[in-house]
Amino acid sequence: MGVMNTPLRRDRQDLLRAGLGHALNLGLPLLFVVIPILSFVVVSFWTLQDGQILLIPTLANYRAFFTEGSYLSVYLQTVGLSLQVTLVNVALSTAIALFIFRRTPRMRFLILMSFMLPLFMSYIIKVYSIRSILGQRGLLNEAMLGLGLIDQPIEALLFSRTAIFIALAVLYLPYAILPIYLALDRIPANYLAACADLGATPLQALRDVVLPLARPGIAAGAVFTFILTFGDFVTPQMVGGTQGFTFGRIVFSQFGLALNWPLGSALAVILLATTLLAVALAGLSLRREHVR
Amino acid sequence: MNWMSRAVAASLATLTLLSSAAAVAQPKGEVRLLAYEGYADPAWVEEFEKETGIAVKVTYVGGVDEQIAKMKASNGKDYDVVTIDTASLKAYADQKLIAPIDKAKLTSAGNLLPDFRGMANATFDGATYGVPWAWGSLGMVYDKKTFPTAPESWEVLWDPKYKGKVISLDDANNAINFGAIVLGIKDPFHLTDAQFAQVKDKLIALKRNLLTYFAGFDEGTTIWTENDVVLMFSMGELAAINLQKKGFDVGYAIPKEGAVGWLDNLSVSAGTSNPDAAYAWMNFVLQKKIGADMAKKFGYGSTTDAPEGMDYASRLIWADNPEDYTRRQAIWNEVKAAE
Repeated sequence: MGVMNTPLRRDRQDLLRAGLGHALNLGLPLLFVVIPILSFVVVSFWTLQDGQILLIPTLANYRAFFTEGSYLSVYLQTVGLSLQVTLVNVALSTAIALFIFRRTPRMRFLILMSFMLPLFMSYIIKVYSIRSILGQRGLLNEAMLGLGLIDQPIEALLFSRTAIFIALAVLYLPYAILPIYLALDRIPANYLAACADLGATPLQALRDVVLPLARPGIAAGAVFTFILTFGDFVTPQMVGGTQGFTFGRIVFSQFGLALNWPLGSALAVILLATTLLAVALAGLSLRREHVR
Repeated sequence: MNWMSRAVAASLATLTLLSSAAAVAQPKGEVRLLAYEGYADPAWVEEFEKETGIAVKVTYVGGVDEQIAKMKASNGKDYDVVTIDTASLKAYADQKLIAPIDKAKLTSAGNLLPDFRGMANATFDGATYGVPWAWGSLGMVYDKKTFPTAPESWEVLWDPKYKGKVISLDDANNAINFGAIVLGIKDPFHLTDAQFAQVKDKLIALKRNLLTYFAGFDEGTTIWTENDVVLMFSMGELAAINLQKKGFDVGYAIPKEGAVGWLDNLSVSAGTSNPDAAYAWMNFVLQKKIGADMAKKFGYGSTTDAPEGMDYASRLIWADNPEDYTRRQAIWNEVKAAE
């Protein structure tokens, strides 16, 4: 090679490389995340008139959310549903994560993987399976009929609010188990030994040491579950029957033949703001913990 | 070889094959079709090519929007024959993307069944822009054990006796058409404010009797097989055919109020460079045997050969574009949000 690598040239190369790295680090998220989001924030202020989208700024789409039809009531119902699912999911996930945490290291990995296994399957396939299990002629009813536990298929299993609960909890459990388990895994073993030495019962150790230290994981799991549930517009529809209408579905419906992109975008901005609020609340609860 | 030269070699090989195949057939030109799935079956293409020596090139489209985009992109110059739904025909004619049908060249017109011979659905200002070709309906699927004879009226879906055993199509536009037809509204595609309110109430009442909504043929069939369902406002004949294939004893009916029908037409592109080839294809597929084959293979109604049981074309209301999609979606959302 004829090119001399003088120190000056190397400096400039390093600078160039660093600059390129920064440009990619900032540019890619900007290009693929921030700009698309900003674009629908912009669209949410446009006007829909006679089926045409006009570039006239308006607040009408946001006003529609508060005043027209049942947008607000469906929004509140969906928030309620998501909070309930989050509560159930976090309680279950914490119990499962604690269960895994108590095993030997090799067993831990095996059990954790078995809980993560559903993540390797397509979401739609899982919803279809849940449906074929809960249906009136589904696996569960057939099994109970076969065992003589019931003499009529239970009709309310599928296409009800219960079904939405079961399906969403099953789908999003891994997203809560993983962060909670990881938080538990970071607790040094000698903390627990110290608890025992100082005469704490296992329950006291759990309440005063383990759970407080797992808090960041629990908060992360709660946020994941809430966001995924709140934005889900397929599962509730597919298993909830006539009860399965959620806010995500309303957003989705504005982008088909209705072609009401401005209203759809405004509702999507509200959805996004709600999830950001959830993240902020979780962050806030953790920060307070640090101060104390 | 790197991937680039490999790709070049592959395409050269394909070209050589294609041109040698063409040389053997000694074509009298080519006919280029823009069609929906099932409208250019390989068996028909093969027979047509053998019979006429005209090569067939098919481009499939998945929907109305995609089709009009493709036609507009070249003002129709890329295609000779297009299949267009009745609701969109006028838009194509207005934009001069399709040419009026030259009836002297349409030698197979005599094969059309009486319901379609007039081509009234495709005639605007005295000119005819399409030849009816395939049709279907959004009818009722019923369980034959529960209903030994087909229910006469759609009102049976509202009957509390069948609460929780009814499923209905989740599609804003078609659900509103359906509600309007059941209420006996003459023009279900252009509703007044008062009619919208009536339809909304009617659909909310139906919702209380439903097990669930469904979207798509597959979902309707799956829900029927996994649950105790006896009635469905369906997406079409295929829903009943699919269930019968799975061993369910179901029937398909168009109740006395009628139902929405769809009717696709064969049209000649305004940009065609080979109208003779275009008419040759249209005359070929308008034979009774092709119609019968299509009905058997795909469950579409043919306009030349009435399939068994599909005797209700005259009672259908051919789908038209509605007055306002956005409004229909908003009202459908209200129905779905109702308690």
